[in-house]
Parts: sequence; structure tokens; C-alpha cells
Amino acid sequence: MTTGGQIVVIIMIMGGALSLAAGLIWVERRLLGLWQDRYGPNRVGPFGILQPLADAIKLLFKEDWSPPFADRSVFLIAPAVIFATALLSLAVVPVAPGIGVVAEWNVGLLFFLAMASLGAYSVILGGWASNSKYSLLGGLRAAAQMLSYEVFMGLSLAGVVVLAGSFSLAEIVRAQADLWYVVPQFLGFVVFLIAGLAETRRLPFDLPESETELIAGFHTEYSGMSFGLFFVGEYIGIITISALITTFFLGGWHGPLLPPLVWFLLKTLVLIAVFVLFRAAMPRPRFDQLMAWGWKILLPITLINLLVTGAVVALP
Amino acid sequence: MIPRSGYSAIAALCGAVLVFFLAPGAAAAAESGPPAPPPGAPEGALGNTAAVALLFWVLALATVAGAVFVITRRNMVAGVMGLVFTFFAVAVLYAMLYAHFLAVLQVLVYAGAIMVLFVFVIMILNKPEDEPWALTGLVGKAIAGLALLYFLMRLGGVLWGVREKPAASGAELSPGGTIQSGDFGSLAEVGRVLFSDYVFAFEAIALILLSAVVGAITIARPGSGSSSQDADEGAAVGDGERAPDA
Repeated sequence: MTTGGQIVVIIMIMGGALSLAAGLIWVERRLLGLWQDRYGPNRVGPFGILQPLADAIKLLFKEDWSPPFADRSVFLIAPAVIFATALLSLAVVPVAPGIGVVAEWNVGLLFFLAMASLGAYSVILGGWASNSKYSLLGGLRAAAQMLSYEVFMGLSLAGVVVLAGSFSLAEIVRAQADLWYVVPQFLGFVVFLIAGLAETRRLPFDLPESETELIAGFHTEYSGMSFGLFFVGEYIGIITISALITTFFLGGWHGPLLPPLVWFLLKTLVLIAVFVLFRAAMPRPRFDQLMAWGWKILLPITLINLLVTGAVVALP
Repeated sequence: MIPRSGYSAIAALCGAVLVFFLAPGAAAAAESGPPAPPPGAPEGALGNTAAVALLFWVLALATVAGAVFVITRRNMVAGVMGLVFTFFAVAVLYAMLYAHFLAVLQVLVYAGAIMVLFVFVIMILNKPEDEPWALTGLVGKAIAGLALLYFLMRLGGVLWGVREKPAASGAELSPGGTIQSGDFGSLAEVGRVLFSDYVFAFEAIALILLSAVVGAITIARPGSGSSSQDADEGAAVGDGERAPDA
């Protein structure tokens, strides 16, 4: 691909993700309203569709206050980190055959895992730099949760790598032309979905910011657009995880009749709706339950999954 | 033992030494052209010699600056961030050497996992910034001076070795040699070398890590360990299992 074409692709993917994230604010609130038998935002524009715009204008004009007791430089960097790492992860996703920023990169999967682990800095440092007890507790929870679930996230993808024989995401999608990996790697799919929820700190795994006990956890002290970056970073995280589940387990762009790009977007959007449904339907576990499930159930499952997959591939 | 300005002086000295020793070598390398990219490397990547040399110098300085930042901060989180910065710069240096796998691993393992654990530990300890314990007076200064002398000697030795190298190793680095095989730095190649030539070191490291995990569990588990002091502490805090024995 020419350099000009590549730049267009980069702008399209970044712009698409950012506008999708803004749209998600409205979609999530409307869907939650639907599932919880209430209206949701319906005042700004038709069906309330201009609500994200109103929210963005409000956030931009609010005072971006940083508390005097905060560690100022770290406090300001933390929200930018989650935004940047979530967007960078999208670089390795192939949205259609031959279209993607670095979709053919032979260490793309590892790059995504690296960006996911760097995202943990944002919440940990945000919580630490705020220098308040709720933020610190939220940051500690986020650190423990994200460190633990990163392990299962990486291991659950090992089965996919064994089957596809490559770390390149485009290669993994091509290998799923006949059979989506959700069938042979069902356990890996379930574990990756749960780990994805924990990595993006979405309900039911939003313990780092559970408002009933920690006010807002790590972003208690944030205001204005600094808070907005955490907020949008979370939505981009959901988009990234949904796009990656589509790529790893649901056959990426493969599908009958419709063009590849449409299939990819369709699968991703359905997964995003599933994420919202989880939020509407699931209660929040205790923190010790979260840790126990991870290390005592998910870890053995992923290891057995990897063992069986390896045995099936190795034996003729 | 060394005042704050002393660190800056040391940093400046190190920088001067670096430039003194490396500048001639770098100039020579720039004249002789860049190392030939291995077969299969992206077309046009790292083509411009001057740009490559400039990039290398910026990254090398960033690496050293990050490392100096780490040892001169009182604030531990700031120190950790400096170390993360250094790891990033090293990762880009790996990428410049066509070792993309190592570059990503550097970010994933060091910057992403190990340093997050460091931050986690610092947050749990939550120690306030305080004056580090330091030797003062003549003895302290003498020890500091000796340490500085030793450091400079080692640094000089290492840098001298770097300058001597290019002439000797020119043959080894030639295209078609053992280092630049077809898929140098790729996942498959690193895996093959790791599990054939270095399998003993690999397994030994695995055992060392395992012993660390077992040790951590032994220390952390309540009611384990049989030293008398442990038992006394257990009784003092009213440990249900231990109280009757003690």
C-alpha cells in the first residue's frame, strides 16, 4: 500500500474509533434505559442523539481543577496514558483484507498485550497521584485486578496462536476462513471475554471505581476534560476489546454476502451491545471473589485449554 | 553523601566521557554505511545513514538520561517512571536492530508487568519522601570518592572496549554470517535459539523464579513457618490456630 493510502487508513481507523466512542455514550445510556425499563437521555436532539455533543461541550468548559495535595505532573499524565494505549491497540486490528494500520505485523498480538499492560499505569498512577484515600484504594484494586487478569488474557490467546501458527492478527483471521475459533477455542473465548471485562474495568468488574463504596475510585479527584479522557478511554477500551474478540474468535471480516468491512463492524457492534447488557444485568462481586475466580478457576481452565489444544495439534 | 548538585555534575561528567569515547567510533560507523538490513526486512526502512545515526544518538542519550533520572529522584514513583522511560528507549533501540519481537517483549515484560509491580509495592508501602540515610564526614566522602573512582574506571573500561570492537568484529557482522540469518530477530528464530542453544539457562531461570514464588508463599501464608519468633507473634495478635500451641 502507498504511504498516502496508509495515512488515510490510519485517519479512518482513529477517527472511526473516536466517533464510535462518542456515539457509545449515547448508545449505552439508551440501551441501559431500555433494559432497565426507563427512558434514558431523550431531550437533546431527536431521541437524545446529540447528548454526547452536549456532554463534550460541558466537559470542555468546566474548570480542569487539580487538587493542591496531588502530585501534579503524574496527575496530568495518567488520563492521557489510558487514552493513548487504548487507541494504539487498534493499530494491529485488521478491519478488512489488507486494511489495517500494521495488521500484518508478526508480533501484533504481543503488541496488543503490551498496550493492555501499559494501560494499567493510567489507573494506578491516577489513583496514587490524587493523594486521597478513595483514589488510592481504587488504584490499588485496579493494579491487582489488571495484573491478575492480564495473565489469563495472554494465556487464553495462546490456544488461538497454536491453531493459527502466527502472532499476526491478519494471519489469524485468514486461518479462520473455514471455522471460527469460537468453536474449537470456546473456553479461550469465555476466558478472554471475562478478562476483557476486567481489563476495561466494566461492570461487573468495576470495583476500582465502585461508587457505592469508593465514590469514583481512582478518578474521584478528576474533573473537566481530564475526567473526560478517562471516560472516553474506557469506551475506546470497549471498542478495542470487542474488535479483538471479533478478530481472534469470531472470524474477523469473514462472512457471507455482505462486504468484509460490514461484517467486521457488525460483529464488533454486537459485542459492544453485549458489554452493555453485562452492565445492565450483572451484580458486582466482592473483591476477594474477583481474585479467587481469576486464580482458582480461570487460570486452570486456560492451562487445560492450552494443554488440550497443543496435544490435538501435535498429535496426527 | 553527595549534595544534589553533585548528581548533576556526575551526570555531566558521564555525558562528557560518553561523547569523548564514542564520537570517533560513531563518525567512523557513519562513514562506512549502515549495517545491511537482513533479507526480508521492510523495504526502505532505516535507509538514511545520517538519520539512523541521529536517531541512535537521541535514543542513547534518552536511555542514559532516564537512568540518571532514576538514581537522582527522592520520589520513588518518579524514579519508577524514569526507569519505564529508559525501557521504552531501549525497546526502540531493539526495533532499530530489526529485533521487533525483543522490542515488544521489552515493553510487555519490563515496562508493562515488572514496573507495574514496582508501583504496586510502592503504593502499598506508601513511604513518605524522606532524607535517605547517608554517611557524613570524612569517612563518607572517602567512600563516595572511591565509589566514584571505581564507577569511572568501569565505565572507561566498557567504553574503551566498544571503541576497539568495530575493526575486530567486522567479519562476524558481514551479511551471510551467523548473526544475520534469514529471519533474524523474528519470533520463530528467537524461540528456536532459546530452546536449543540456551535451553539450560532458560530452565535454570524457570527454577529460580519458581523458588522465588514458593518462598513468597511460605512467607505470606499465615500459620506456616515454625520459628519461635513467628509463634510468639502469632500468639500476640491472637491467631486462632496458633494461640493454643503457644
